[in-house]
Amino acid sequence: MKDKVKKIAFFMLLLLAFAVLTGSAAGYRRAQAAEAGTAQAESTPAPSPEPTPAPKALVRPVLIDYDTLWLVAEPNGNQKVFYTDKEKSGWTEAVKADNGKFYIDISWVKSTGETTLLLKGDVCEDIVKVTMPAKFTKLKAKFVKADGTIAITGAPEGTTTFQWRKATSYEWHTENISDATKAGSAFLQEIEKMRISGASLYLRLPPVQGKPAADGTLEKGVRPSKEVKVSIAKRSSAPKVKVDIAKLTVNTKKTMEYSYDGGVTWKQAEDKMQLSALAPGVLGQGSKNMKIAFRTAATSKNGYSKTMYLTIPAQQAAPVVGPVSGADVVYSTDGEKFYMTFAKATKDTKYEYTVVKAGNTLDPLKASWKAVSSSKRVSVSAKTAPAGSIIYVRRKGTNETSKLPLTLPSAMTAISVKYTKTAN
Amino acid sequence: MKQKRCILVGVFLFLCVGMAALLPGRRADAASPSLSVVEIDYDKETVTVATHAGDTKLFYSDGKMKNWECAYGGFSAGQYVLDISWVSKSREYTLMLKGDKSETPVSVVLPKQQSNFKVKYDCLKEKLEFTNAGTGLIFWRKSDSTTWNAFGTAAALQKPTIDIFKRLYAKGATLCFRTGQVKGTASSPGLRPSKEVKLKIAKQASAPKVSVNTVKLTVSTTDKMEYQLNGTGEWKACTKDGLKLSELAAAAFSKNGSTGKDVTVSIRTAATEKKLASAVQHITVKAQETVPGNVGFSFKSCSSMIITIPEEKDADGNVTDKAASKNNPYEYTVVKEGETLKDDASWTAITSAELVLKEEKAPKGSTVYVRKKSIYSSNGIYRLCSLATSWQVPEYPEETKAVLADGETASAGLDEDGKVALVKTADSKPSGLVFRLVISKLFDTDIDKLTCGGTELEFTSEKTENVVLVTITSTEKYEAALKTRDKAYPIKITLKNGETLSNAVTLKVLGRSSVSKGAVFDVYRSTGSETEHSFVVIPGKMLDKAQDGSHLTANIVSISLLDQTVVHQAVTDSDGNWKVTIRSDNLQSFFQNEKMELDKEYPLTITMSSGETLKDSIKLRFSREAAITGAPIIFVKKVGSDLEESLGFEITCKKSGVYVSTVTWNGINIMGNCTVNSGKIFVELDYRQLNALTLTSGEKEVSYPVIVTLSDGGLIEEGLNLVLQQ
Repeated sequence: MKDKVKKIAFFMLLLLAFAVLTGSAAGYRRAQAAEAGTAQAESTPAPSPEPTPAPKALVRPVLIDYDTLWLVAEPNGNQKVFYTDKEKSGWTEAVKADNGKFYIDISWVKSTGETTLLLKGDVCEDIVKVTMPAKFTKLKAKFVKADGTIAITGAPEGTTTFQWRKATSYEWHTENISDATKAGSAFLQEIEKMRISGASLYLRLPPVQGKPAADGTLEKGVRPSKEVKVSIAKRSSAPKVKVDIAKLTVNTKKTMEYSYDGGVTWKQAEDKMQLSALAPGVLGQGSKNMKIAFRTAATSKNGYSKTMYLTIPAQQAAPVVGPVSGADVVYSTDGEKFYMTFAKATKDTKYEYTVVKAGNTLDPLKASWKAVSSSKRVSVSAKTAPAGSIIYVRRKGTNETSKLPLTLPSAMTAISVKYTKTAN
Repeated sequence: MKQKRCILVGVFLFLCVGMAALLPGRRADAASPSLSVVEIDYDKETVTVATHAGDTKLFYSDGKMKNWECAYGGFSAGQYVLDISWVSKSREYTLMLKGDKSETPVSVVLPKQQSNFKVKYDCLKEKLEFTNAGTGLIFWRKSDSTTWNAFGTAAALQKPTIDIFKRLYAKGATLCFRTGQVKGTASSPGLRPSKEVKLKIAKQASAPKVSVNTVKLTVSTTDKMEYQLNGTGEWKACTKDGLKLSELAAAAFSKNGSTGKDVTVSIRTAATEKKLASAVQHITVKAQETVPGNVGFSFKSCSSMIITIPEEKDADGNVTDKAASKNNPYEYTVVKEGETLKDDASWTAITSAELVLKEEKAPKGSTVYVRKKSIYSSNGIYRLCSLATSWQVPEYPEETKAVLADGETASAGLDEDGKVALVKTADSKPSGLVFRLVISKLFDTDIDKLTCGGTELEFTSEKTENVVLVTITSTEKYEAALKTRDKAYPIKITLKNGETLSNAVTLKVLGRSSVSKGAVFDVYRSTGSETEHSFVVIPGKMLDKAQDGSHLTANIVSISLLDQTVVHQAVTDSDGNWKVTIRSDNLQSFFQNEKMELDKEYPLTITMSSGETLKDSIKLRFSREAAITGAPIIFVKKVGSDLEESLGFEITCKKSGVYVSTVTWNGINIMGNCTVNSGKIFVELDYRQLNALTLTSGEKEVSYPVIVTLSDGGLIEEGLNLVLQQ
């Protein structure tokens, strides 16, 4: 019972507190209102002067959007808005949007000349003129192959920006007009990307919306200019640089250039460079793969070609010539012929050898190598390889295919030819 | 028990995890590709590739992988955005990608662009219908715009777009549509936006031309049209019978004292599936106006009333009511006494600020109703006929009367019928031709003109209240055309309000004086001739009357010629006419009148006591019967120088049997011989008489004419001069 009484009392207190608080708040608000009222009463306004006649409720054009081709007008007290390009032809009633404004399509208005639309309301029939300029049609643009820039001409004086889009895209990008010829600009970098596969672009001078000026009149704005198509020509194909796996040369030409640093710096190539000059790092001991970029150098009329990257694998170590366990090649002779067995030779892993007679030196560019594609013993006659000759053996290199990468021929092992009988 | 449960659950979980780990394609140790596609954006025409192996260069090729292109530049922040605008959309394209380190190519199959997307616009339902639209958003743009707008294909989602399309109806437009892209990802190549399709929204037809019958309150329509009330609600089909505005626009009419409201009826040619609804013709039926406040009724004359509908302005000069006119017509109808105005009453248009109705049309007791007429303007505003004001026509005013101005006078009196009878003498200035017009006070008018016999009479008038004093000032034109005199003819009095009085006043012009037969009399220069010339003057009538009431006739007051009185004798004959005689000897003094020229006719001016003047009937011609042949002749005689022969000259005479009586010079007879031969008279100046002529003392020369007197009194006073010299 006591608890119940306590609870009721507490609840009543809460109610009381709430009432006091809300009452004082209301009182405060009333006091505020009273103050305001008092303030109002104390400062009796002077009798208002003669009302000036209300300005005419002219229809108010507020925007010309040349991208979406709408002219937007505010009714300014009118219930209806009418428009026409020729009063004699009659007036067309504009459709009111949910936001109370009138959106007048201007896609039918010819852009070849300056046109004036007339607007009026139903309440105020005074005509308001909206002038739309002609589309600028003298813009020209051309891709300059030699330096990868875009020459833009014919733009009106004072033009600072232009827009471009891919022919298959509707997204416009705005650039400074100076960037079209500024080497290294972000725009030209984009163009460079397109020089690989080629592209078509459209250029235009950007539109400027017609908006109210400070004095309330509507500025004409500027239509986007006529679009000009610019074809970004593909760079010429990259030279097909191949390694002659027999001669260890590359089919370079003087018109080419090559780069070790991925295209940052370039050197002029020579005709048919030897690997030893072009990529010595791939040969011999401590050889490593080398990636070399090649391209046809730029001329006064054309830019450089696409780049071909040639990865030249490091040359494999020379084959082991027996008799040792695991040797690649063992040899023997019966006094009349010289026999060699390439134990590891297969169709896929070929070996080759060349004979250099005594007194001659091996000319890698002219040597004729004979391939060995099986472990079947091969013989070389004494006539072909007389005693004292040196037979060079190596793993045969492979040209790059879709399945197999390029492999250089391995380093060579020299075998001196002797016809002293040995056991096979 | 609990423990057992836990163990079972644990085992179950373990098995699940284990199985998951062993499921193919979910090997924990499977390696992620080193290159992966982040995004394919078919709007931007780009493929964004990410490297997970630190590639610096990106290579790409087609599915055959024979030629690898090295993309310009390199990966940046592990990504490369590759342009794919060069990839043909007309077929699927396999794009192979690898890096300088990620040598295992990754393939991306770029889909073919869908080209079977179609769009149609149902103009009737105002709905877009798509074929092969897929499930995503549709995009549209104006053909000359590069800005795409997205919307969903469901009917509810189309509404905002359709609302936008409605803005294009008036001028038509060409739009392009396509389905939206689905961006490609690592796991899906996505979808290209479809091939664009064009949709032409043909310009809507002009609003149909409808005719409005303002009497029947109907609008002509066809069954291909539809209408809408007050710009809201559904459009309803019209029929060939037309629209009855009396029903549709009933709210515009005043009813039981409450004013109506404007009602707008919009009419258009209904849409079909392929054709948009036409533009709308709005007919705004304005709320019926109350009784016009600028209509006035009054009498115009004693037999006509006038309805006035002038322009009214307020105190500030603003027009509150326009005057009735062609553009602002009113109308009236007259309801006979005892009848009421019916709905089908026939109304007549009033197109000017005043309309006169004759008594026959609006008799006393009838009620004239006037209201603003229904009009339909070319701008679609229909003004209903207003409520009507009315006037019950009271008694028409008394007829205008003509009365004597100053009581009976010689010129103005009343005839036996009580009419004002005006009388004047012929060809005299009107005098006393005065009368008054008494006009009803119920209307205001004044005299406009007086005509008699079709000829206007000049007059002056002076109006005081409703009485006009009319004074005829000239009857010259009338009298010039008048054929019969001494007869009273009615004067037609026309008032400015159009009223005429044709039988209230008469005018009689009395007979005029005249010469019975005109003549030209020759008067010769003579001495003592008593030739007489006679003529008859028929006297005109005078205003004065004899005792029997007949008008007295005029006397001859004077006869003059060249401002000189002509002596005459006048005697009345049996007909009461004046026989006038003039003698030559009384006319000789005219030969001295400087204004007189010989052989020229001069009319006599006969002034009658009636004030008339007779001229041009009787003329006199002064001439000489004889003259000296070869005149002028001058003879010179020196005193002392004697002539031995007489000087001779010849006289030509008009008369025969005439001879020379005397020849004198300065009163001195100097006549010599005189012979007559073939009408010519030869006269000699006697030389002896000439030799006897002398000069007075101190005179050196004198010259006088030789005066010849003829036997019939004729005189020759000029033509021959004799000069006497010292």
